[in-house]
Amino acid sequence: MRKTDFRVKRTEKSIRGNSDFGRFKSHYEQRRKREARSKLMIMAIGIILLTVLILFFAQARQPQTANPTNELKFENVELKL
Amino acid sequence: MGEYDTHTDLEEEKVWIAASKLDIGGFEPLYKHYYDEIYRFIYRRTDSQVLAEDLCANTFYKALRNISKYEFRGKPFGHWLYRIAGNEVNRHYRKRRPLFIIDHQKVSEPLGIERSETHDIEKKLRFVFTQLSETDIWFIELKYFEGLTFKELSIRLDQGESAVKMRHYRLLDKMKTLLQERYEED
Repeated sequence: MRKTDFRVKRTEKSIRGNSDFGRFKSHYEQRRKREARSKLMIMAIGIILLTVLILFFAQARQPQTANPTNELKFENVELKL
Repeated sequence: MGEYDTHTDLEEEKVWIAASKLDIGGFEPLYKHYYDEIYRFIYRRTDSQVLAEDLCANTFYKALRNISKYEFRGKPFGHWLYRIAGNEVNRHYRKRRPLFIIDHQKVSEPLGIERSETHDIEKKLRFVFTQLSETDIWFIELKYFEGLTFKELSIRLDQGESAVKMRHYRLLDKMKTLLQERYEED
């Protein structure tokens, strides 16, 4: 366990921060909005990645057919000599 | 400031908590009631007013964000706030050495350290606080630095008043004995 650094000094009687509730309220609302936006972004990125992944695997699972374009067919060809 | 005279204040706090669950504005009385106390709790562990303000804002932000999960169990709301504030401070000191400010003016007299030995006060207080657990330090902090009465302490710690008094005297006794053993031999 880390040792605490004890400092001995006189603390001011009137030590107080800025307890303005209006400031806290606007800070809270902004932070909540920011958090909601980043949550939404993460969800959107997740959905896109998932879709890409699903498409990729669906493609990979399709049976490979023999390449028909290279075959030459002479079924209805009449040879006249 | 977060001070209690009777249990009816706890009932009032229960109403404030319920109001906070409905609307941000409902949180204002709780915020105003506890802000300075939590601020000083953090300041004593950071020695920086700017940092204390930041961590204090984080503490109240997290409290309000999670207030819907908070269940009133007869303990003051401050109990929960202190826990959040403690976690915020610990998170800040994750890779650094934690610190604590001891206000010698408030604690040297009950420990029987005379003002004439000013040069020794620092050494003695640092030694005696090193021997205490975190909960003991918090007890001393509430009693001497925040100036809570035994009644307020009993509500804050959810213990009987006589148990709190007993704990206080035992703790002072322990600290005095530690000082005697260490410094009267020299």
